[in-house]
Amino acid sequence: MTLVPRVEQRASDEFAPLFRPKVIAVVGASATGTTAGNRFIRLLKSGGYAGRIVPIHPKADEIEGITAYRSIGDMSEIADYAYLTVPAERVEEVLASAGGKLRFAQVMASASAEAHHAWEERLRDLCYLGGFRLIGPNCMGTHSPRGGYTFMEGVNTEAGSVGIACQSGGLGMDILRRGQNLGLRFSGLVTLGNSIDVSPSDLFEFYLQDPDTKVVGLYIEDVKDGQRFQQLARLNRGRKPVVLLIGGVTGLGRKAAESHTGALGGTEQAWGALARQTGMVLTNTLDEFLDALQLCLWLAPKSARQEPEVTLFGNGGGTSVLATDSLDRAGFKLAVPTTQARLEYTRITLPAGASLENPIDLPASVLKEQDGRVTAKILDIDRRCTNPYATIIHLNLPVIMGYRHVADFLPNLMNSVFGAEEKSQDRPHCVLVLRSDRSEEVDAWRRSFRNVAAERGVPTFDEIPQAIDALSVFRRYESFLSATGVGSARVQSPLSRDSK
Amino acid sequence: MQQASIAKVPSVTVGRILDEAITRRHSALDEHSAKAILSEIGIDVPKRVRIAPGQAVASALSGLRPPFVLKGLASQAIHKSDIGAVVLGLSDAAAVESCCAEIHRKMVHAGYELTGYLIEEMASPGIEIVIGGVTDPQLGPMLMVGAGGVYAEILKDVSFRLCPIDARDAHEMVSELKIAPILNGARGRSAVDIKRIHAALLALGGESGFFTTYAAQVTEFDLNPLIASPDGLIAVDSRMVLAGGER
Repeated sequence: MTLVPRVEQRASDEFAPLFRPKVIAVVGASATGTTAGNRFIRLLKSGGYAGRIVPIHPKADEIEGITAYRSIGDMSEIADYAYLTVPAERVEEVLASAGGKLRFAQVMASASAEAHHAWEERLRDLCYLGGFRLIGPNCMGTHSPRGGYTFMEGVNTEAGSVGIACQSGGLGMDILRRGQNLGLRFSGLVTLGNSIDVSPSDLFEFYLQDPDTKVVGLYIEDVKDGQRFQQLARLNRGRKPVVLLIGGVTGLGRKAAESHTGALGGTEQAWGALARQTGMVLTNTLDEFLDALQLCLWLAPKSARQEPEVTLFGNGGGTSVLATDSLDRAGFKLAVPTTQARLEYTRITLPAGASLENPIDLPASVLKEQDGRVTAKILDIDRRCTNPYATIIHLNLPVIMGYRHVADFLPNLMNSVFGAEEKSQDRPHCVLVLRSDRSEEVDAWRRSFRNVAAERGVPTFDEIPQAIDALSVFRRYESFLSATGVGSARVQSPLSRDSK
Repeated sequence: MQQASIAKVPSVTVGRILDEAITRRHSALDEHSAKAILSEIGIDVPKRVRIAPGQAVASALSGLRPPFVLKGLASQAIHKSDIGAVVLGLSDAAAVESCCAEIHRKMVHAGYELTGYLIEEMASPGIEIVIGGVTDPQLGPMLMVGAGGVYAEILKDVSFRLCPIDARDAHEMVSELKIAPILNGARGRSAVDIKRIHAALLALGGESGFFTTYAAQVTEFDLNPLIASPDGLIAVDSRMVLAGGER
C-alpha cells in the first residue's frame, strides 16, 4: 500500500471534501441492486448530487448504470468521500487498495464483539498509513446539503445552519427526521459511530470554524480526546451556541471511590461542569436537544439583567392556570402589563368577559374577532408597552379549528403571532405552543402551522411546560453570555474562518 | 492556627512530599503530610505535632494550646471517625496519652498499620464545608465544593468545575450551593470569610493549582471538613489518595 503523510490543516479546510465531495466512491453496491450501497447510489441520483459517483466492485463492470472500478486505487481521480457498506471482513482490503486516492472513508460495518478491538486497531493503522480520514466504523452516513447528498431517504436536503455530529447512527436519523419536522435545516450531520479516527472534537472544530453553521449540536457517548474538546469549548465560550446531548453518563467514572468527592462526582457532573464553564447548553433528552437547537437558532440572546417575566397568551382557562404554576416552578414570573399597555388595551373592543390581565386568556370565539386581527393588536401592545422577557402564545387547535369557516381567521391569527417587526434582543422572545388532541385532522393542521412558524423562525412546542423548560435552558445560556461579557450580541467565533 | 501565605505555584516541597509517598508505594498521604501540602499552598491547617508510636506526649505538646485532637495516622486512606481513630476535646497530655493505646487497638482491629499520631489544636466552631477533587476518565481533573461534614454524601449539596477554574468559577461554585445563604450570614449571623473559600478553591484547582498540577499523582482528595468562620477557613481533616499505591 501507499504511505501518504498526514498534513496538519485547519479543520474547515480538512473537512471541506467531506461536506462538498466532487467524487463519491460507493463500496458495497451490487450488480443485482438490492444492497444499502445501491440504495445510496439511487439516493445520490434522485437527490441531484452534482459530482461524480463511482461504484467500486471486484467483478461487476457496471452498477446502477455507472461504470464500476475494481478498487479505489484504480480510479482515475481522487475519491473525496467513500461510502463503505461492505461487511466487516472486506473493509480492510478495500481501504488497503485505496492507493492514496481517498480523502474520507465512512465505514458502516461493525465487527463481532470478540474481534472488534483488533479490527478497529488495524483500520486505524490503515487510515494513518493511507493518508485518509476514517469515519466510523459502526455508523449510518453523512447528510450534507451543501454537498448535495444525504444517507437518509425522504429527508429535506435544503441547506440550513445547524451542524450535527452524532456518535449514534440511529439517533442521527432521529435528529434529522424529527429536527426537520420542527423546521430545523442542517449545515451537516455526520454519524460518527465508534469514532476510531474522526472524533467528535474534529467535527466540533469544523463546525466552530464553518461560516455556514450558526448552531452546533453534538451527541456524545465517548468524547475520545476530552482535553482537546475542552480546549475548543473554552475557546468558543458560547460565541457560537453549542447544544450537547451526552449518553451513558450515569454509569461512567464510578470506580470504587475512596473519597466523598469520588463518590459524588462522576461523568455526569464533569459534563455539567464543562457546560457551565464554557456556556454550552447541556440537555438530557432528544426532545430537549431539538428544542434547545430551535431556540439557539432562532432567538437573539437577551441580557440576563432583564427580569424573567413572561406574558402568557392563548385560549384555555385551566391551561393558563397550569402554565402559570409551571412558570413559577421554573423561576419565571408573569409580566404585569404596564399602565400604557392597559390604556391601549381599553381601546380594543372585546366581548364581555374577556380579560386582558396576564395570563391573557381569550376563548377562540374572541380570538376570531375582527377575523383574527384582534390577536395582532393585543400582541403588538404586549410587545411595545409591556415588553416582557418572553411571550408564550398557546393555541388549543381543536377549539380554534371550530372557527376555520371564518374567512382569513387562521392566516391572520398566525400573522399576528409573528408580529410585523424584525426579531431583536430588544423584543420579547416569542414561542408558539400548538396544542393538538392528536386526531389526524388536528395534527395535520398543527404540522402546517408549524411549517409556517419555522419559516418565520418561531420555535414551536406541543405543550407549554416543554416551552418553559426550553426557555429556562436558553436563559442559562444567556446568563453565561452576560456574565462572561461575551454579551448579548451574537459575535463571531474566534475559530471562524472569516473572523478578523 | 498556622497562618500560611498564598502560594501561586506549588512549591518544591509539595512535589517532594508526593514523590516520597509514591516511591514508598503508599496508597494515600498520611494526614500530617497532606496538611503540610495544604499549608504550603496557602490553606490554613490547625497547629499540630506528629509523634511516633510510643514517643512521649508531654514534651511534644509544648507550644500547642488545649483542647487537643488526637488522630491515628496510616499510609492508606481511612475514614478515621468510622473506626474511632480520632478523639476530640482532650484537655492535657495525660488525656492524650491515655487515648493513644485505644486508637492503636482500634486501627489494628480495622486492619490498618499505625504509623504515628497527630496531635492538633482543636479548631473553633464554624460552618463545615468540603472541598475535593476527582479525575473524570473523559474530561480530566475536577474540583468540588459543598456542604461538609460526615453527612456530605447524604446531603449532596455540591457543585463541580473542571480544572483549571478561574475566579468566576470559584465564585459561582460557592454561590450555587444551598448553604450559600448560610455562609453569607443568614438569619442575622455573621458571614463567613467567603474570599478565603474562593482562594482555597483557586489554590487547589486554579491554573497552577495543586490538583490541576498533580492530578496524575493524586487521584482523588477530600478536605472534609474545612471549618469556615468569619475569621477564616481551616482544614481540620484531609484525605489525599495517591496513584499506583499498594492497596
